[in-house]
Amino acid sequence: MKRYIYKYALLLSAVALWSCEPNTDDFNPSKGSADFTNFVAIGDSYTAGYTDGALGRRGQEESFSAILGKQLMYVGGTSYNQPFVQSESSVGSMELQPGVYNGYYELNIVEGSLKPQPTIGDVAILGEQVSSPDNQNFGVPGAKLIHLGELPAPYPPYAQLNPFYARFASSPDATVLGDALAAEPSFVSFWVGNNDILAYAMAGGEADAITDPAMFAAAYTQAVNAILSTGSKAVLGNVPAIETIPFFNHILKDGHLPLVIVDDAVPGGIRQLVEGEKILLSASTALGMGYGQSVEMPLGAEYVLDLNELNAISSATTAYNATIKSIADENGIAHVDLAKIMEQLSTSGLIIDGNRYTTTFVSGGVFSLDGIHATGRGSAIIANAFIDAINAKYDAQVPHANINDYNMVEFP
Amino acid sequence: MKRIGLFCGLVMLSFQLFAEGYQVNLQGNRQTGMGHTGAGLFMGASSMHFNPGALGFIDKKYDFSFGGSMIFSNNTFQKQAPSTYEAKSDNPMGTPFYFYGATKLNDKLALGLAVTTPYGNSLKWGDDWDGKYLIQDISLRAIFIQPTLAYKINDKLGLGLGFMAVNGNVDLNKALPVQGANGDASANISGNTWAFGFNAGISYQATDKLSLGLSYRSEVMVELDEGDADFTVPSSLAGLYPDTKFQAELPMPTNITFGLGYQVNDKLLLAADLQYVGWSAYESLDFDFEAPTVPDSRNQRDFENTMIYRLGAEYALNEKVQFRAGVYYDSTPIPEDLLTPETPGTDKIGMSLGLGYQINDKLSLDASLLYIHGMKREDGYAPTNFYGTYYSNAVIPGIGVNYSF
Repeated sequence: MKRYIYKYALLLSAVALWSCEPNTDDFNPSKGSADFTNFVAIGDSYTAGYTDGALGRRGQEESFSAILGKQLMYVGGTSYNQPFVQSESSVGSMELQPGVYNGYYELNIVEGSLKPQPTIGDVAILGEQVSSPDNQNFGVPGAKLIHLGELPAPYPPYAQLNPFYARFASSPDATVLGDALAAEPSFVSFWVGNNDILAYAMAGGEADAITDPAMFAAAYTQAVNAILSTGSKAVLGNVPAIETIPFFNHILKDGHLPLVIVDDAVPGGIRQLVEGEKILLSASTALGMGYGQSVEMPLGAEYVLDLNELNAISSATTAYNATIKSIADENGIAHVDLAKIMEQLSTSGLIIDGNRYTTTFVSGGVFSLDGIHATGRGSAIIANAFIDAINAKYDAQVPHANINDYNMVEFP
Repeated sequence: MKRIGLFCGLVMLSFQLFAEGYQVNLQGNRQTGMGHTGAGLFMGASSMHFNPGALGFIDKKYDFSFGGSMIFSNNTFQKQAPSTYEAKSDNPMGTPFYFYGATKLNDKLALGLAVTTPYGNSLKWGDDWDGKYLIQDISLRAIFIQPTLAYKINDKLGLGLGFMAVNGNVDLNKALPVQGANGDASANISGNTWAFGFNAGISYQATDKLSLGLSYRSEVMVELDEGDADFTVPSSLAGLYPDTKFQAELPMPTNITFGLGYQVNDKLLLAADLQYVGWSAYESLDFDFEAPTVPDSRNQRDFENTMIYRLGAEYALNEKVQFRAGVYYDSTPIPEDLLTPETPGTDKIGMSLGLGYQINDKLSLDASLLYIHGMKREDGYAPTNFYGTYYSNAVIPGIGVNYSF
């Protein structure tokens, strides 16, 4: 009798102890045919982590390149060093008063409704010197493709034109591309070309210029050849259509408005807004003051993209993206179709891990309060698109970032 | 008797999912030891749950049975590749219990009361886990109070009918994808209500060795008319998300069980049950909020009817001691692409052992140990695009006491 009880007790405890926690099959990250030991990101404000209208540490830590750099550490990446802003604050490029620049926009309740408003930035950030041979983030807010190499005469070196680059340039005469290649990358993310269009588009087509597509193709070829000549592999990102960006479509989101606008090309210099034209987010203040409502107060042309300007933008975007795709294909390197992802986000939206993301201003989750740059979540969506392209091209298994770990617009 | 006191103390704690869907099949420790078979057996007062038709066959004037189980369950979620994300739930221990008391009114009629917890779910994934917009934690429990009358037509055939009053309680938390200074907004949904149903059974001693039973437990639609929805949102959105009432309903599905018992010899009893569960009643989980600014929530479920296959055996070592063992296969009602972390169901295999001990001619004890292995399931919920691999298991010791005189 006792013998049976012992046997029985033994059997019971064996069952009780047997795998109290379920065994799981682990996911194994792998680098495939690429080498991520020294990942370097080259690009513009998206790569830098500019968000909510300014550059600051919060945005730098949640840029797509920082998220990508972090994920690449699962497959051999050793670090992702950035030229971090030293100040607690942030700084943008809008001069609020002489010598006073904006910091991050924040969402405030103004007269009962939510409104993004700039904070006061810390202009000392632009004077910081954080150059380091260990830097891996060569994202320069405002940089066009054609700013990355030597600038043609009579322009001075780019570090002397753009304080965001001067902060971490190796010398006053350095070039962004030269500095990036001196970091001896084994893998490069190269997402440029946005500002070659945005600088013009954000000025309502009244200032700056679209980079000529032929010049773009030549500069792009040269830059990619320089990157690949070091033995590095790369992933190239293309240029989203401006129609998918809230800065260009938020104001008329509910449809056409019969606004009166300035147009020097017509007799009298003013006319009504035509269907299909775009009013920029930067017009908010002027519209609030009554501009655009009467012939006495027409809305300035710098707040409007007319059909000609939109055509020029659209055809340049198409040409750039064809160039980027063919260069990726010719060189057998990864290509990420960000234009397509932004298209999805701006139409049906993307449902990811329990939330639907869209390009809707403020509430869509993807774009920050400047209407141009991404939130942390938007950056993570972009980083995962880069990861998908890398995995597909290099037969790698780089793990995705968790979108829900990152931030969206903060409501008061 | 100290152990009995312990169980009474645990009764008020939460209850725990661990059959498929949100069903909990742990309504008798003798039956649990035998793979939770029992529809075709004569098991005294606990027949009120398994087959009220068998209640008429109790042989003493009074028959009481009560007990409970401790559910130690584990759920692990591994996010869809490529991802290194893994989450383990921190489930509170589940404590389903049962109480049965029956008396023979005369030779033909028996009357009893059953209190059971055949449905429940308690899962805690955490406030900040990756599926927080689907569910953070949920506690669902139902207590069935069932007065039962049984009539023994003759020495072979018995009928029984029970009326079920069900108290249902739900409390769940989920995050909302809006952020303020303190992170995500959140919603707390809670409510308590009563609902009613019935069960019926027929029990038949076909030969000296073979017994048969068929039991039917009706669907109980738990309709919550005045649930409480409390929102924690940034102050700028507080006007849109006031604390409000909501309506929702959740079915406790129909169960139809056919059971066989076969007394091989004096020592060995074999049992088999086929349990049909009408899960297709659970089409959708919808919350209709009273406040017009709070959007109603529609969540597709579309569960499918399932079968549970059970086998059990009891071996009487001597007059006092019985060993039991059983096994069952419980298929999941949750279709592909509709698997949520709130009810992460999967096909399950249950393996049980049991021990019976007759202390004297009035008092006996039953102990059981059930191990449930959930098949790994790689799936997710398409409407919110949350996919991964779910793993689950549970170890469930239970103890019960029977007293008859």
